[in-house]
Amino acid sequence: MLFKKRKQYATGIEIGTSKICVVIAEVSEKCPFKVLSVGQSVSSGVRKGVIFNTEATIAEVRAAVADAESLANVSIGEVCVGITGGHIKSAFSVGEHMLESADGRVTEEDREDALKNAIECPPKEISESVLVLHRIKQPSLLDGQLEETGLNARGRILTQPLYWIYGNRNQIWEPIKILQDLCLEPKYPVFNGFAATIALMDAEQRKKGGLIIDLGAGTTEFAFTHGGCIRYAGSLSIGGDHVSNDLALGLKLEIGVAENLKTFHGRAICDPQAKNALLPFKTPNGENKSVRFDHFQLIMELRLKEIFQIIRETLAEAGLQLGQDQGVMLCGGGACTQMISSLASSVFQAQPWPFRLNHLDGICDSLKKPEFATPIGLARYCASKMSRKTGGPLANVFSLKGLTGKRKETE
Amino acid sequence: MIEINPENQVSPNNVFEHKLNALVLGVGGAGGKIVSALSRSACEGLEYTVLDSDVQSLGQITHCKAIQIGRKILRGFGTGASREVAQSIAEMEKDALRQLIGGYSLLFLIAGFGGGLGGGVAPVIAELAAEEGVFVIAISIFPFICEGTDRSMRATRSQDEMTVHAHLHISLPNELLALHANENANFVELYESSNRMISDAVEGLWLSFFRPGPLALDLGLLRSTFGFGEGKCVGTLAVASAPGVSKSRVESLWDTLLAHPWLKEGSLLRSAGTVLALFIGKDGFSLADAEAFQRRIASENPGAKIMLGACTPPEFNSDELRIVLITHPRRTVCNEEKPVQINEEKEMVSFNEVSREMLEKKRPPTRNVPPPPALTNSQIEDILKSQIPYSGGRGKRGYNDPNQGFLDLKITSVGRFDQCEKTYYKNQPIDVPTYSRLGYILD
Repeated sequence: MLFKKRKQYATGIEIGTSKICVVIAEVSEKCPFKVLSVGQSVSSGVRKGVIFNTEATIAEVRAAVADAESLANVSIGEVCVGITGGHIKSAFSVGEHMLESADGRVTEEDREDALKNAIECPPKEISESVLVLHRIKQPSLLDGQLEETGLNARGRILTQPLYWIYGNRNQIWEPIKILQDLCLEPKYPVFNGFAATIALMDAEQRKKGGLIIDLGAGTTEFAFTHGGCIRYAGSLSIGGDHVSNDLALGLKLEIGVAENLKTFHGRAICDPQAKNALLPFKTPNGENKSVRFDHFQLIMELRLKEIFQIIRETLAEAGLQLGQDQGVMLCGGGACTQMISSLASSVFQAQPWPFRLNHLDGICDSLKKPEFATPIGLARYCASKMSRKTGGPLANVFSLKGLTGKRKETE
Repeated sequence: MIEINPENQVSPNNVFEHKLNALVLGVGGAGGKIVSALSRSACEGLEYTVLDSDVQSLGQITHCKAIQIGRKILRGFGTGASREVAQSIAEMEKDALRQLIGGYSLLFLIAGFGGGLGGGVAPVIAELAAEEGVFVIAISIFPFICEGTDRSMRATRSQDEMTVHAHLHISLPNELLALHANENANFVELYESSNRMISDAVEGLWLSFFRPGPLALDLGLLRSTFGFGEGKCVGTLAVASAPGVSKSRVESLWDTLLAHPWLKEGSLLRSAGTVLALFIGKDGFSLADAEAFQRRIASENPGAKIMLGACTPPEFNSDELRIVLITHPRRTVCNEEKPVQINEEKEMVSFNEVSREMLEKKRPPTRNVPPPPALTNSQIEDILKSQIPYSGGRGKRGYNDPNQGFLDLKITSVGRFDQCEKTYYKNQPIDVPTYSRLGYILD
């Protein structure tokens, strides 16, 4: 080889309610996904996952990108941007195909045709005002029964369900425009819950099934996987800010003080020993004050429990329920709260899976925190897309085959 | 033989304790001025008090007791036409107000409803008085239309609240006086004539109870006629007097009443459900006069329930015969038949009342807008019926219902999310703290 092969850099940018996080990873043959740097900045122009102050967000994204670029000493181009907010919705479509072969066996062409039919018949919710983020293939059915691949099953009708994740077109375009203004190439808008699943779940966990909950400051995303693919995903406009707000209103605290107390003393399940105990703290003016510890914990528990219950009800309405062998894994800033896994486990009646990042290389130690799961997932998604484009051996390393179907290009 | 418990006997010493006593309470600027005017010709057994927050207004009060309210909050100023402020002051000084009205048999509550204090505090006082067992006759003054829509809206809200709490609520719209006044009449003259009629009415009502005459009228009868049921509505009054003892004075009284501005040239008398006529005169009022008057009313309004009262109080110096006529709108629904729909019907009656005023209001001729066509009573009724919104739903598009109900506004803070788009889950505002929605009380 005359010239050394050029290195590729995958970038994931999460524009969150409390912080903006940029992860740059190197994609090479030697090391398929090596995180080089992380840049962060405080986010002040986002509420509940929706950008309301574009100027402030541009400045903050610029600062985070500059931070990451200077640490990695590289210049980034293609990026994958996280999309979140209450506008994210999902729906199913179904494609049916009559098998043409004489012996009734399912061929690859049949599968493609069934998938095409599913794509051609989108759900009625898909309109001009929405933008499709992901179309996720679900396990196909043969004559109404779950098809078990590899058995050369025979039948007459192949049904291919397709799961669509979409959102409001204007709100999805908002972060994309911001990145374009910064001369970046935001090629892949990805739902944050989807990115968190990529970052946290390995193939075995995806197959067994489980729930990923990203407890952010303004929003909470969740994705339920089973049989190797995402079966249901959603986003709630509730998050850690609501917990802080509840504490501030309930205990008559300033919001900053409530935020600090939540970060350092927060607990998802009430401690019986905390009854009648006082939680001392210092106000910004330097005064010593205290609040009832049991009330503090009660307010947190009620809010967090409610968030989990809403997710559980949403899943139940979609006909999904976590089994005992399935697990629930938490990420995002809210996942650092004490006893939150136990609370999630008790609400969902499922195993609490410990937080663990999937196949990580590079500056791992500083990244093994729940709040970095989504930007890492975004960078990984970007790496996967870049590898596919080049067609090199990397294409299969992080293949999202099974996890996602053919995605509509939104750029 | 049943032995009467001596404790229950009325001894000469405790006769005074069983005597009627009444308070004429003026609330706010307008109420204060009226009561101040009334107190200049004080009646025996009546006490006059003015309640206001504005020190300047209170300084002009003479001949009666003046009490300042809301000193801590308003510092001697008015409420700034805010009913909410007035209501919160009344809530704060509830105990003092209760003490003020406690111990009286009858409360004449007089307030102007266009401003803040009268409209905000008077309904609270009426409620407290009713709780204390005091019979409340509320006389409210509705502002002129030229004073603005805001005042009218405030007055309508206060009127609704007052109607709920007062046993008898009489609303006197200033606008009706203006419509019947001379073109050159000024505000002072209008207010003076209004004050005079209110004074005569209060005096007449009080003397009817205090000095019962040949046709006795007592508070119990009044309470049973006006003071019960949720279908209470707003009445109006008219005062007329005729001098001398001539036979034609009943005719003269009748003609004056029919032309009375507050009876809208007799239309309210014709549509009334209950008519209370009180005759006050030294002597000369005969049974024939009473019958003649009763026939007159019956001929004008055959379906009306007519109550006559007559008294000949010795302190009534004038030789004239005075009549105080109180009309009360018809309750269109019988309580026993449709108890559930009382609220709706009440709204309809009240609605009709104001709408009728709107229709009867004289519009100035303009080049572009033709004057409204002359309508018969049946046509007016048809129009009003077609404009009444169906129950439980929205009214006609574009129609501004002046009596539209106001929801109880319970403000729940959502803290930092006040400026954000609200988030709902199954119709629940989930920005509101969970502990608050679940009813946890953090003491």
